[in-house]
Amino acid sequence: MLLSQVAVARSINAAFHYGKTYVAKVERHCVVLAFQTGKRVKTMDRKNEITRDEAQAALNSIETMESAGYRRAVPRRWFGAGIAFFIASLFALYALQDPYPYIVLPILGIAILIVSARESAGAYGRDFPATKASKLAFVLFIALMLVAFLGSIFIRRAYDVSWLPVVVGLLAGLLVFWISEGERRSYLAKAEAGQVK
Amino acid sequence: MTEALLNTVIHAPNRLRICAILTPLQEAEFQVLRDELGVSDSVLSKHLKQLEAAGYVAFRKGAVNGRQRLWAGLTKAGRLAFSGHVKALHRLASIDDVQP
Repeated sequence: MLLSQVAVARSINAAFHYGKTYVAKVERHCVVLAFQTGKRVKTMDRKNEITRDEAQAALNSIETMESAGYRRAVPRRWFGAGIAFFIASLFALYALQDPYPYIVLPILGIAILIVSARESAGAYGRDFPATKASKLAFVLFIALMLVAFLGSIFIRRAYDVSWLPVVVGLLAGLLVFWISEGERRSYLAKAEAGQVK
Repeated sequence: MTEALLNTVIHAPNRLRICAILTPLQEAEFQVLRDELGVSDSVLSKHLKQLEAAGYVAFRKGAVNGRQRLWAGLTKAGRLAFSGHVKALHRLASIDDVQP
């Protein structure tokens, strides 16, 4: 922090010793310091001063726009069902003696579905989870799917149980659809939360 | 943890709304942003460029049926700055009245 900036901050603190000094920010060569005088909360930068009411109005506007973002990104039901179908197909293909010529089909289907859903909506939710808990849940889900996938292939080959990949595929498909419905409901709830207020 | 800092780049009403709508999204199309904000192409373009210059927004160009489409998304720096700004706004909004 430059000496002049420290001096400015100190002089403000001295002048408004009765008030509550709020948050200081150093941006380039300017100290932005919010403080309270009577009923007004201002920043040091007069051009960008913010009153308490303006801060509240900004927060309301943020909430409205965030809910608009969630509304735009609500996954369609056909999207979840399509992904579940292709995941189930990917698993079930291993019931065949030679599944390799067909494996590309469900993978291609998933890719086309994702691209078309994004393009038709014009917006889409975050690719990876944001919170620690959801990151952990995501990693566990991927691990579970991999274990189920590789396990069913192993048992199919070791014990010649050809129906197992089909059953595991159905279960995996149902799980994916159930998760996608949960995600859809969560987006709808967040979208409605902002509209109600 | 994000620090509560007011950000003068983000605080302008339209830029604040752009950041807010992009927060739950990975990317949004230019047209979607324009419709949600209810502003003209030129106004939106100006604000997006300012956010891009600050390193808060990144663009990606895509083509659908031969038509160019512009996608915008918040960068990591943009998410951090916006989160800090929202925290600072919450603090400002919660300060009690003090009579001098």
